[in-house]
Amino acid sequence: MSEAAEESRARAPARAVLRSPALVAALLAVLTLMTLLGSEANVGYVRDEGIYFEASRHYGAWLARAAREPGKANEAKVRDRYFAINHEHPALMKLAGGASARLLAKPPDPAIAEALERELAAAGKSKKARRKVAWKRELAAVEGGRIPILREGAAMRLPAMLMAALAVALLYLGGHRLGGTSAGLLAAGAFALLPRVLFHASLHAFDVPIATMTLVVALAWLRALRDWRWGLALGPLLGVAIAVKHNALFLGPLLAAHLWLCLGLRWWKTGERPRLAQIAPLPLWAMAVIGPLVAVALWPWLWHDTFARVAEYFAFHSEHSYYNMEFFGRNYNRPPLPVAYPWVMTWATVPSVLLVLTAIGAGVVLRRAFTHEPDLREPETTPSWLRPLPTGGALDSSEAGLLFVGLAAFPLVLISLPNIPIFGGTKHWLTAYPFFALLTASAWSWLWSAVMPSPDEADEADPPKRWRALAPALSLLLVLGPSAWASVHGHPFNLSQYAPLAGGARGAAQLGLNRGYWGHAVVPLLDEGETLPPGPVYVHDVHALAIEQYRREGRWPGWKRSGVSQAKAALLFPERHMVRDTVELRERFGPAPAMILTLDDVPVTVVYTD
Amino acid sequence: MNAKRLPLVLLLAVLTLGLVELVASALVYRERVSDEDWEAAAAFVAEHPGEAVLVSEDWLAARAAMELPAEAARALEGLPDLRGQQRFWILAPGRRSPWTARTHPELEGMAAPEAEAVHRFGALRLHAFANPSAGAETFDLLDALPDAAVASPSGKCRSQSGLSWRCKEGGLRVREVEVDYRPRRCLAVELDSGVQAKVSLGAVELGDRLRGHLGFGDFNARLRNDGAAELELWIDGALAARWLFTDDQGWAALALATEPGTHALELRVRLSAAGTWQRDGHRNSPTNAICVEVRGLMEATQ
Repeated sequence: MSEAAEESRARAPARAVLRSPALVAALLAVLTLMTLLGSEANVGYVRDEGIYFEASRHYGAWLARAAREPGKANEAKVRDRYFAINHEHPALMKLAGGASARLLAKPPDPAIAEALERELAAAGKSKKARRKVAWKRELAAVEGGRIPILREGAAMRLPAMLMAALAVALLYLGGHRLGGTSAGLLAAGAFALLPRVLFHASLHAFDVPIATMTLVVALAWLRALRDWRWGLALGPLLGVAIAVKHNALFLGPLLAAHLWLCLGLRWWKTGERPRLAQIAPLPLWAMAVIGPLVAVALWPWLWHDTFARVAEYFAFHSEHSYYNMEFFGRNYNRPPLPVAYPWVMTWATVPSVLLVLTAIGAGVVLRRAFTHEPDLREPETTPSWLRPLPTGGALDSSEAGLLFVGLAAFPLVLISLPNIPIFGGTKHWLTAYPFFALLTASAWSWLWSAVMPSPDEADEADPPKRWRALAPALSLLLVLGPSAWASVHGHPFNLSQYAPLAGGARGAAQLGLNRGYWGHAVVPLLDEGETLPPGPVYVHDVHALAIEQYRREGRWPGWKRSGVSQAKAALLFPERHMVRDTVELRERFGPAPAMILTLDDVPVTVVYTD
Repeated sequence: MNAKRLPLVLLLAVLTLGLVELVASALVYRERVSDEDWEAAAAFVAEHPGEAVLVSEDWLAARAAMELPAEAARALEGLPDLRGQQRFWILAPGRRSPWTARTHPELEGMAAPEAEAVHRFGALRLHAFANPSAGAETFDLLDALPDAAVASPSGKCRSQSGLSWRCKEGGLRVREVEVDYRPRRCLAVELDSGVQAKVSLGAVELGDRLRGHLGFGDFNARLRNDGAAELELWIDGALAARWLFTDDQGWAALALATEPGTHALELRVRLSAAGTWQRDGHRNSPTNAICVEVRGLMEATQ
């Protein structure tokens, strides 16, 4: 046998392995997870995370107690003690973070345990004081996790990273189904390589997890149209999604509207009038009945006094505080934000090449939905309560296309509405991006299949077979390159990163778009002992609980949080409405900062010292 | 267009756009202004003391304050407008126009200043302007305040170093205040609802125009209080002008024709409602700070 033949034979298994979409999806998921784990340490703890870390310590302590004393842990009063903190948001991701820390976190800095010992000694024989210290010790988890391999913050961030990895795998599989390997890679990359997605995927928060769960529920829904088992599974999946974040509450009505639109289109095209069983089928009932039950089951705070607490949850979110948001040089702090806000910010933060592909994909699938004849194959089973659309729901079907367009557009339309509170930035429509990604894959598939026909359809004038395989893959560099470049360059300040055609961070600052929020851009300063010596420091927007997390990990350099007047140094995270703080700091420290952290010349953190 | 042509055109357009974005990435994803650029600009500014330097972009302000000489850094923020600046500089990045949303409003409708020179320091440009429409300043409220007498309805307010006063109903202080998201140096008046402060400057040299501004400080207070501010100017014991302002007006300009010469000038300032309305009702703090500045200018001969 020749060497070439041997080599070719040796390569064959590798090629076979790479031909397995499931394996490539798994590899991409692992790559995503490793990348996030390897880079998250430089992403500072954002304001909300500080609260979620603390909540996760409480919830994790409850899990540990439930394992030790299941009966006691389940008493309402005891349960409430653990779950009262941050009960305005569902518990699932915080529970997962707590469990992950109990399993994988390294023990906290010895100073934490020493301080608790001192408190215990000071408590003397006072039962009340000793109980208080015991409670603190329970929450502090000074012994660390069972397999202590990660910082506690990293361990708590891990579940969200796993969700991001799951999204990448699903998108690859979905894209592969739509147009082969290159479409799969495009779908995965069009989501995971976006700077804002990458940033949020590193956080112990809900935004990327809910984007993943929206994708999971949407894919399950498509299967549920023709398979009753998925119809039944949809209920628990929606429950999990609701337990991640409230965005999922919109999914039930949206999916019902999708079904009715599909039925209406079929009626219009074929005269096939929908049956009652198709209009209110099993998947909708599963979501309506099982979904809420699972959501409540995953949120121990709701296990008693349920209706009052659910009402409180809805009231909190309908009366959400106003946040400040800069848009084209103007600060908005009460609704309405301009209708253009989410659309412009999407353009400014997602490379245009991906947006154009998304638009082409939407055009392709809508054209298919509104002009093509429906699949008139004889269905294996007639439509029923169990299978409302037995021939529908494939990823390249018009039903799937309509669903992707609907779920891509809905979050942006919602944020555009004039009476929606100003929640904040782009993270509030991250749920749209998996569907953008699937639409790019649809576009990719349509474009390349039209330009490079399959071998059966190819004639002599068409490019050779090798090129037919290579050209789409090579073209991915052009399509995914801009977002990859933006993300790598913007790390760890990707919350302030903008797309190249918006001019990056500098262009966005010139346009008057938000520069960042959440007070996270401090990690490079934590080692700046000379610039910022230990002592009283005004930390501006860094949350006290984020500081607590740095302290627990031994990363906080001994700065004592203080007001401006007593501070020897100060941090400032520039935002338009923070000019007030700039004025205060200029008055206290003089006009010249001591140090500035920048992203492409644009300050993300300004440091003042005496 | 046939069935194959449209996808081909679209595909080529997409790939071209991707290429354009990659090139754009190479251009935008890097720091452009180097330390050397800043050092050179700072050295140049140091050779021209006493001339105002503005920055054209908000994002340049912090670094400019860090790099420029102390006097220029202090004056970077807080200017009321460009009316009194017969020469000034604007520091701008690269080829961007120095006239931006940050600098252009400072002209307040004056004739465009004359561009005299552009000095290049790597990625920075320092644009020199002559401003023939600017008036000659005859007096400035903030400079005159150390000699002022300040009173409220409950009596004379106690002066602390000539730059701040304590009254029974609140206080007044010369400081920078955030008005319409820009720092402005002014007399900040924080008094109880409806309380009028009288600021008697004594004899000052007026020009043919008296110009100034009034704004409401602190975006939180503006959001949670819609009270109005009243400003009266008394010249030689007679009411010369009265204005009413609301926080929607931003850094509101005021102007009054005056007889050049030495005159007794008094300002009276009142806020209709102090404090803020929060979720749990009215609170005294935070409160609206009224930010006032007034200057005498001789404009006719300019």
